[in-house]
Amino acid sequence: MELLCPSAKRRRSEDLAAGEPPPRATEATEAANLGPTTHSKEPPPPPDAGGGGDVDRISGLPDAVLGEIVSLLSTKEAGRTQILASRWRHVWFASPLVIDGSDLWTKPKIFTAANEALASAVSKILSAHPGPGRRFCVPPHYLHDRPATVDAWLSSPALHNLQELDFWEGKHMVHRYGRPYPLAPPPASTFRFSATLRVSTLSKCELPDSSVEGIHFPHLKQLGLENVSLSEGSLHTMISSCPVLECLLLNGIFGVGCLRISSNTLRSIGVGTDFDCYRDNLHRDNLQLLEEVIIDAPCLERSLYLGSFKPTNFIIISAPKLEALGCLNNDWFERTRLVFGTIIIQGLKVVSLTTTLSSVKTLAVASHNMNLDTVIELMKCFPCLENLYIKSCISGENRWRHKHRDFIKSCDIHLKKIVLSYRGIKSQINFASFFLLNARELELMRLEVGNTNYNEAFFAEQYRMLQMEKRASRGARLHFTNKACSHRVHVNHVRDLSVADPFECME
Amino acid sequence: MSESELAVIKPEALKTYIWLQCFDGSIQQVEEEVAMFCPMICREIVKNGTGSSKNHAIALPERVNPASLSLILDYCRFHQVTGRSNKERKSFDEKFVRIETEKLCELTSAADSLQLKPLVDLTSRALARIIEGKTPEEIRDIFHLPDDLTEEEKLEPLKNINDDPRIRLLNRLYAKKRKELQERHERQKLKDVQVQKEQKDERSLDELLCFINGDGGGRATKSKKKNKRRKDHAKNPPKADSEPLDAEGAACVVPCKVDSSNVSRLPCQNPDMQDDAEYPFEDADLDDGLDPAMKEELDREVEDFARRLNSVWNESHIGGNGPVQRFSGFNHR
Repeated sequence: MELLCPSAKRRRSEDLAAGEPPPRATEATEAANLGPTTHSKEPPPPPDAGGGGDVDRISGLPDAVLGEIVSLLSTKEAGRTQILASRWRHVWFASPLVIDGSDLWTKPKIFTAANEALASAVSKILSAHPGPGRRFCVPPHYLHDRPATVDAWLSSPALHNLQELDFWEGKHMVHRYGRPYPLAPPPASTFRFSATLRVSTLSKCELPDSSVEGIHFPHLKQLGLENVSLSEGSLHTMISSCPVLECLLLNGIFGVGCLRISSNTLRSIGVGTDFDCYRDNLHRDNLQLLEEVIIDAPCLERSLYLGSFKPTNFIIISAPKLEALGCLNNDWFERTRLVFGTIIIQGLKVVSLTTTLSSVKTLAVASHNMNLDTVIELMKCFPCLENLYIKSCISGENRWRHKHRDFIKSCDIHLKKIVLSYRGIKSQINFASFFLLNARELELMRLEVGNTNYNEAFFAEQYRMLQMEKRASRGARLHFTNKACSHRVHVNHVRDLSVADPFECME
Repeated sequence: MSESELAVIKPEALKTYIWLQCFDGSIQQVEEEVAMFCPMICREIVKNGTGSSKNHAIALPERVNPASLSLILDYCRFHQVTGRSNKERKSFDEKFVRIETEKLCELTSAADSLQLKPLVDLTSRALARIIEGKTPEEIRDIFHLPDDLTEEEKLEPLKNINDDPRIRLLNRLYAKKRKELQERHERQKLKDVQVQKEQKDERSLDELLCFINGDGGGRATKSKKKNKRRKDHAKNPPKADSEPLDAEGAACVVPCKVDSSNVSRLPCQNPDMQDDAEYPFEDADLDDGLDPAMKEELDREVEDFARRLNSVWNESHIGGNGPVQRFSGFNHR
């Protein structure tokens, strides 16, 4: 009998963290005649793959587990497991089918040949696999180029009980030269999987009212609509047909003027019209872009604004758990008005502030005339802000010692991370040093510099100019990077909405 | 005993422990709340009442060896604490699966037999990451898989997916067309250059030709004559060389000898042009020296060919499944 004291337990966890499996499993054992090296299986084989003493420990896993592993591989790799060994020959057949077009997208990326290759591969895989289906992803232009083929694919038994359906472009499967084409409704078989779908993206199509009538998505957690034309009624029908919806991406919705969402499960939303969607549809008459979005979602954690080309009202009635917000901007054509409870922000200007939002921890902003005054006003709305992303260049005088001394005295700045692009000009030095000298909890200031400045001499000089030795937080680090992030919000696919920090550049 | 020692020992003494026995006979005890995190153990305790003493230890399935059990219990011990943030849990999980591949396999097996699904998911993903991107030989090596398939069996599935003669035909056609297009483009560029540089010369030559041919001469027929001459040059390069007066001719000769070395004069050189005609552009970007208009034209030609190819192909080839046979290739636009 052995009482494990806390320190021994802790030690074991730490050892695991370092990557060593603890040999002291046997310490706690009370075996009759077993020495410390005896296990029920063979002793660990020598490190070199010798052949004789090496044991295959993976093939012994049950079919369901192997199938799960194979379904986590890319489409090509998954198919290839058939040739690993005789035990593996039928694992792929028995595992849920994943066809991800971007995995199969061959080089050359010349459209006709690549599209033919992809379509051919998809047909072959579908005819070879018995199902069920896990994920199916093909480029949206197939809905236009070969709708009958797509219909046949979706009707295939191999996709039975499909869980993820994406008509999604990604960065790879781009339609020829980006030329826009008329949007058509997807085949009826698209809605065949509504009972089992968990993730779905529809792009570059039109959803007539009849197609969404009476549908129900009991398990759909993530829904993305990109470059889709549909009526206001249809959009509302679709959203309310998803009782467990957690992530909603609406990028380039045409035909809807006002969107009202009321959901108890919604955790993350991304709304806007990015430039590609806008440009692709400029030729259409009476282009109706979203003008107003009203959200009532008590569980909402992330509210992401993907930009627009029309003034928009963005009203969040209640979002007590809202943690991430952005990218706010004051581009001249947007003049977006954001209303969060009692806070009203027009562009980047705080028009009204009665009650602060203390849940917001991450904020991204962009402006052609970004300056410290603007940022401080925003910080007053979000007093518990921890991460701040400045996605544009800083200008203005940014003098603060006298102007903002009241703010410094009365408010604690809880910022932990700040990211901004930096050239070393006076306005930026003033801006950055404000935070370095006053943010007592600062952990990281990341400066995105150009290649010409990416050298030790520049770093050393900035260290001096920014008065790092007088920094308010001893733990604060200055980090220089030459990887400039061009995106304001990193959302390519609806599942990116579940990432905790969508402004962090992962590349 | 000092007060602090009492504080440490007292809560331990009050804890309930569950006894577990591995297949090799080794017995150990673990805190109840940690053990209960495993559905299989939980069921044993609740349904069968085992585990409360050393003599009635819960018999664990064969696939749970002591090493894996230890890891599993650490996993449970960490995650059953409710106060932890998602970030902490994720960080723990990432470190947790950084173990030897063999131990990872054993852990997966043990977790599966204890029905600890979150851990099975975690380890499965880790194993998938190890497999991803490796050749079959490498995978067999890492996991010590027996290489027990015949060569034929190995080629079968790959052939099904990759070997589409249509694709190779299309690629070859594309390469050929692109070459033609680039040659044409090159010739056109030179022609434009000539027009600017050698106006005077041309006129005198034209006049000469007109005189020789007995035409009225003049600018209207100039370009036609130029093209004609170019074509002639194209067919008979040596002849062009021998005409000393022909300043334009000398320049003319160059594009006629278009081969891969000349193609390199294009602004965006594509060295792959010299490669195997089947896959001449292994890593070609969209920017491969062709402007969009050219690309479109090229693509249209290939598409046309593909359409014709598809209509012939579909009749004889496409797939076993009924529905799939319905697909009609391209839709006409």
